[in-house]
Amino acid sequence: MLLQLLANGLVNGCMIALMALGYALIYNTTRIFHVAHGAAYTAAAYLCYLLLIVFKWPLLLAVVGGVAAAALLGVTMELAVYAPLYRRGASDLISLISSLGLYVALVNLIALLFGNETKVLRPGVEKTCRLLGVILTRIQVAEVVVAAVLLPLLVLFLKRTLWGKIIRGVRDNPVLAEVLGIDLMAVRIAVFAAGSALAGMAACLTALDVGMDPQVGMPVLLTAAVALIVGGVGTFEGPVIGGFLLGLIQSLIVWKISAQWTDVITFGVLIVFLVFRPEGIASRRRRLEESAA
Amino acid sequence: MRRNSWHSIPPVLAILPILLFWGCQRTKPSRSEEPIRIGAILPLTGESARYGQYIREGIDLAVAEINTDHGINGRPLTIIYEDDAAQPRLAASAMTKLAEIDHVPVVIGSWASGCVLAEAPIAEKMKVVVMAIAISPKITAAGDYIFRIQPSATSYINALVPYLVHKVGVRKLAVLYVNNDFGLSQAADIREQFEAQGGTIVFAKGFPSGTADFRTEIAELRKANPDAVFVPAYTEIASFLKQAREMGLSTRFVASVPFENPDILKLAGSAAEGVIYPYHYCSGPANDLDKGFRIEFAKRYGKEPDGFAALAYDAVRIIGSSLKAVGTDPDRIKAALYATHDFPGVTGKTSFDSNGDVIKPIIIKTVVDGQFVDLPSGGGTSAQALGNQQAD
Repeated sequence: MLLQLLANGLVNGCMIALMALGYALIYNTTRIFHVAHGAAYTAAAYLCYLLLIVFKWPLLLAVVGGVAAAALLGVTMELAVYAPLYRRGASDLISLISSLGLYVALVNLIALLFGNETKVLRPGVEKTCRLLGVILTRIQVAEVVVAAVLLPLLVLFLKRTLWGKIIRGVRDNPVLAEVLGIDLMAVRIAVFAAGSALAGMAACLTALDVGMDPQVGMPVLLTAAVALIVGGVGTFEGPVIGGFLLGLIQSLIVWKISAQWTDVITFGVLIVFLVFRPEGIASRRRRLEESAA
Repeated sequence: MRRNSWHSIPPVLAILPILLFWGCQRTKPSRSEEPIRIGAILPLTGESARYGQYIREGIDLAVAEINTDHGINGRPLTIIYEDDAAQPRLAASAMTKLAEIDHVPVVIGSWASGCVLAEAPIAEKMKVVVMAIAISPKITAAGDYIFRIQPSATSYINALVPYLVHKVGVRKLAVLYVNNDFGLSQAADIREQFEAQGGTIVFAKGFPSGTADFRTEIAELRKANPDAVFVPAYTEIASFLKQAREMGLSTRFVASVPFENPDILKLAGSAAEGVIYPYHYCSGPANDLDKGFRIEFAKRYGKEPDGFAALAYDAVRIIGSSLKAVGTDPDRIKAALYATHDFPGVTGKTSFDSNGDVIKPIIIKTVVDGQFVDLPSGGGTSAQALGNQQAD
């Protein structure tokens, strides 16, 4: 029983971690509270549905299509909205409000096109695997495998490669990075593409597992944002840790109390961290003068 | 085609003066030919529009049949439709409009319980009879002029519990309810009824509307090991059933009224097989009247009627017969409705109690081979219908 609960929490944690890492890529580098990330998530799930159910594409291609759609949508949002705002020196608040507007517009568009009702990508009973008394469906196993491959690879990529260094450079000081000859706008496009693709991956896998409706994006986005803040803003391993932590906590809440309390306690955790450890679990070591800024 | 349309002009011209003459005559109808207008407030747009649409189709069919059969003592019956999009605020303004501008004696609807509760005080004040098609137990006490053709949520539980206890042999019941008005009241009703019959509730938890992942609850349910799990919810139950079968939860599954929704069968697939639920409309024709209704409905709309279309059809026929008997005075219609006893309809015999709540048979149903079917209420449980618990 406990093992099953931990396994459920772990699978959910995998998806939150993917979403949170994607969100961290965008937030850490651009400082935009990218609410429309939730819309990219929803759009990916619905494109996957369109390709798989309506056009009868094979499963893998449909997922690739969904992920590509999310990446494309992320880049489009950057080029059409955030980049012009950045060039005009708009404040963070303005980006946030534009992002909220984008989210509302896109989600309502999706609801208009596909309807408001719940959709599932794989009706009927899924084949399951049994291990140590823990029962997981094949889709859940796929979720774990994808996360187990992608998450360490990405964190290492960001830590060890030149591209990772550039992204971290932009994160630390975009103006200085630009002075040093880094094409800031290109980096922004890259992080929007990669971050949104991660959201798309989480969306397609979750949709295959439990289905979706047009409103799924916002709770997932907020959970990812909490995972980032709890894990440590500015880091890339932080959101992954935060994601797993939240996945496990949520599973325990449903067990010990009930599902109605999930949001209350998730955001309760956020408040506890903001008060007692605002830098998050995996805080970066900063120089004194840096943290003062 | 072009030639044909040219040819058809002279006859049209010939008919025109006749039409005009007839039209002029019609402008001052004698009082006995003036249509009787009643209102209908329905969710015709928005998320619940599909229910409003079925209800409207049921109403239109009944009205058409009444009007071909001499109308209401020779006067045609017409319906003024208002859309509330299942929003109480819009239902209240629709009610005000129908009462103050159109002066209708009767309003059918709405479908959403919140909308009915918003209409009720206006209807009471303006003395308009309301015939709701809504489920909330709160409507029972909504007012003297408020009737409803759909049984109260509590009535469904009253029929369900004896079936579970005596026919299926459920002793330990788990309840997993959607955390809103509907789910909470269903959970409270079943607890009261089930414990009164000597059963035990071994698990009761709520979940927020729209939940898609029930695996933690299912792990707990496996440990609690109930004889049956009752899940009063909307389409969320599809995800629950799917995941429960995947995780090998081998109990009976019991649902509530919103379960009879083709979308749920599509979402849950084979996982919906064998779910037991109470409903107000049979899957096969209930009687000769119902047989005719199904044929006419299919002819007119090209589809099967659902349970709400059937209720709406019965509602219009009951109102029509009251109008025929007592005329258009709301107080006299109200009295006639309270006096209605065993009115034969497509959903069975209908009476109203002193609260204006309908008294009608509730049928226990299940899913077999992807179809909603009736369970025999007299004999034992159908082994074919109920034995199919484990998906693999």
